[in-house]
Amino acid sequence: MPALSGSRIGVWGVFDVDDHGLSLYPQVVRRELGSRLADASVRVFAPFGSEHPARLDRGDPAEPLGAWSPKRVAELAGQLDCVLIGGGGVLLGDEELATLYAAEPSEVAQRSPSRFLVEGLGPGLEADVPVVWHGLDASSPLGAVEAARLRLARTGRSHLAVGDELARRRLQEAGIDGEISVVPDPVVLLSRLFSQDVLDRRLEFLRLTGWYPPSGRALVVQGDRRLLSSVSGLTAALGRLVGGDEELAVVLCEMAPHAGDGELADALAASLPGPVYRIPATAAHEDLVAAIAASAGFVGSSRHGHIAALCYGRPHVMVGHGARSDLEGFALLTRGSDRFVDDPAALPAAWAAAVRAAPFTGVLAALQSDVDRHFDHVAEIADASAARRGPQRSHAEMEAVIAGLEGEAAALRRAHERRAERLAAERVVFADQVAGLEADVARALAEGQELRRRLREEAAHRHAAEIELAALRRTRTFRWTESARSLYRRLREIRP
Amino acid sequence: MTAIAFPRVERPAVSIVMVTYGGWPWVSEALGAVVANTPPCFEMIVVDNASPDGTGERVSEGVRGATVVRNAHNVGFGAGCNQGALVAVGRYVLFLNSDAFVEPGWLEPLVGVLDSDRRVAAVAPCLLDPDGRLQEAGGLVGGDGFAGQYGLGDDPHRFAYRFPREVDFASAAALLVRRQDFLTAGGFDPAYVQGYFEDVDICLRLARRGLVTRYEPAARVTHLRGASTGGEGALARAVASHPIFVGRWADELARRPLMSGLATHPHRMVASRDFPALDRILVVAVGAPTGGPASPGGRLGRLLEALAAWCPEVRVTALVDDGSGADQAERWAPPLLDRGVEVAVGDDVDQWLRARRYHYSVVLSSGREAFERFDLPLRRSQPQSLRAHDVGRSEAEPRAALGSDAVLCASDADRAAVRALVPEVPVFAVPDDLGAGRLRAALADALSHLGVAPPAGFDTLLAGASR
Repeated sequence: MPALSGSRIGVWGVFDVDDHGLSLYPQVVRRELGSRLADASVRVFAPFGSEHPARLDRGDPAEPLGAWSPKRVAELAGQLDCVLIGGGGVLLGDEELATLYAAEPSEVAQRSPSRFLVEGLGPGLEADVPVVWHGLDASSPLGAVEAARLRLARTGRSHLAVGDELARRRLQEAGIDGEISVVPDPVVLLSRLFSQDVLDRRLEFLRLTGWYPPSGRALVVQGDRRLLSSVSGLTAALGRLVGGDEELAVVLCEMAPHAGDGELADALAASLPGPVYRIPATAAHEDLVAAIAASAGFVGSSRHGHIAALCYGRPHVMVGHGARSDLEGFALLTRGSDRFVDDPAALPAAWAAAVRAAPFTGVLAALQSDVDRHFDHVAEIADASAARRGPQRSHAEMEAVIAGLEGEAAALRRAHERRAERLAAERVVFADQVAGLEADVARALAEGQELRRRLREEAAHRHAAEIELAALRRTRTFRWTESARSLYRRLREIRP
Repeated sequence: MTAIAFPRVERPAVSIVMVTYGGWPWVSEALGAVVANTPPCFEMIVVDNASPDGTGERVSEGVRGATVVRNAHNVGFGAGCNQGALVAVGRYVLFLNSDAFVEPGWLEPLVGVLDSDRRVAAVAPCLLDPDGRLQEAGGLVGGDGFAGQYGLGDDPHRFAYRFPREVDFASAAALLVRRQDFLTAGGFDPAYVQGYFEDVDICLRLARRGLVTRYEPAARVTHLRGASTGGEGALARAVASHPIFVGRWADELARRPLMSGLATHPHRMVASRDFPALDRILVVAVGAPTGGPASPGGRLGRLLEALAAWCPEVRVTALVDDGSGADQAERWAPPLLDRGVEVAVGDDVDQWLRARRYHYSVVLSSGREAFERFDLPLRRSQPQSLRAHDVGRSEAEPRAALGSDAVLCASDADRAAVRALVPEVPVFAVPDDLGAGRLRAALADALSHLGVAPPAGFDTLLAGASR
């Protein structure tokens, strides 16, 4: 039975660093849960949140999880009906998080953010406030300590999802039992966040600033510092891709500055021949998505760059770095093993495969369907929790009546708005007409006055003429010339 | 050259973005005004569009504590602002022209608007010409694509320009936006590469997302106008951008009143100004809205406050003819103006009403004297409006009551007396000796009867009022 009041959902993750993929995750979650649960409040938390503002938070940072303590955990559990822990970096330990935040390890250890992301609320509180683990980023085998920690945290947590099949196998190999779902990264829904109108506008902006080719096609390239050792190979391979095509130019971009994307971009900019464009690290989500959506394709190491290419049907080649990469799992998920390369020399062949496979409509639809089902499930969990924890519910029929009244009220308000608008427009029309008529009337009155004035003048002239004529008639000359004038009159009548 | 030094702020709430293209003398003055008149809550970002006169170098060398972006070529004002917004870290971004000089206390009122109302995505100050005359009290967009500055050349102290309100757009000469909303809307459209209309465009795009732009007169900025864009050819550039704007917004423009022909159609000005207002309520009175709890003036003041608070999308105007002028009205008008009530006082009521012909949805006369004073001019200029009459605690005058579509009174006892007098007219008891929330709830019935749009969360309002 639905909750009377809105469910309160917390989304926890590493959302307070400048990383396009990480910061898109809560935006997608907020949109999807908001569209499924009308009155839900979705609050985004990150280890530091507003205490560590990132440019990509666009001035709307996450709330800080704060320093871990049982009191803090209980406080959060009291404020939320459901917690979704997801996005990348969830399984990072505090030391790794310290590197990510470029913070002192002691400072991060004191806050212990990984305890929120891994241990969540703990089995006691999670019996009342369900925690959904989503998108665990198990891109490499788990160490013994890590595995043990996860097994313990898994106790009592029924909702666990990873991003791909390889990640699931790694967790199973680490002894994580129970059901482990595979749910693609929800950022595969990113095309729902950006209208084509906005992307078109941003593309025009990129061209105007010289960050994107003014005409022709672009090959968008990105990579992190793990690819620095492959710069020469990448340069040669990219050179072969664009070398024979005058209309194709390389556009370098950075998806995650903290991962050294800028260092690789610097190296490639220095080594690639021909015109090379570069989108700065400060670019907004819309800029990178616009660049990839309009491109000839994407080559890089960022899963989110590939997701953007997938969403807009662009060919893309995933570049690994020798060690196990989260891209392998993504390649498997998207049936793109022939589009994954560890060796830059294989890039041209992978590119050909990518061009053949585009636009990936079927693959994308399947992934988005999986994610939609997952969000439906999360929404049900959150709503059920809110209903159980919230105020007493009234009868189901009352729920339906209230829903109907709310719909009616909304419709009435809309109708009223349109009526008010129409009336206002009509009044302006009336006022226009009246103003026009008044002008006409004023003109007519003025003309009438002028005619009356002239009439009076004419009347005065006639009167004067009559007086003069009367005086003339009384003169002897007039009387004496009567017969001559009479004769002249008769002659005029005969010969007019 | 004396260096201009901006304070170092660890977590700025506001990122001020200035795009420069030459004009170092006023650039330095504008930057200096920011330093002098702004509390240390901001970061300064200057984007130089390859100034031909060395302004870029001077900014780089002579300005400390600012982020300076130097473009190799002129990308235009809109794209330059977009670049500034990308490097910004503040919650809000303020776009400031390089020939705009901020005045003391300018920023706090603007930030206050965005802090207090999530519906607002952009807010602008009162723009003044260097000689102190008004340059812009918010912008107007006409059905012909005319984008004008409300109040241009007039006296900024006039009440007409001193109440905050929702506007169609505001000039990006000084415009504070939420960074999140600005980026989500796509930023300034680079299609307006010649400049002009990009600010109108972004405000309309924000409106399309359900967000509003507001004018906040408590904040003031002096703007040279044209100095930053180059006086020569400014008109030609505006003319070049106009077809782009009209082409993109044809559907929206078709809904709006025309702004041409104002000499013969003066009503178009206020029709355009109040286009965002779903309903327009005119309250007419012959006494100032001041006084003790039981006085007619006191009741009028509380009713005006309650009406102003009813719904942000309703325009409330108080027309007071008490024989005194604007100088006397300064004693009581400012609190009402601050609440968003338009206040009008003056001698020529007929001319004032003629310029607002057919404008109001509802006219409320406060007391018998107001009915007698305004009835005839209102019949001539507002024949379309619904008429309401407030008798307060006084005895109802039959002619005033009969000539109304609704009568308001101060208590249930008064209501019974009025109904006995004029049983065919709906009467609503609106006691004004209640708390603000309960007064609004008491007004709800009357306003709904008069077809005035209920605010969002109307049921919450009623629920709250019953507590």
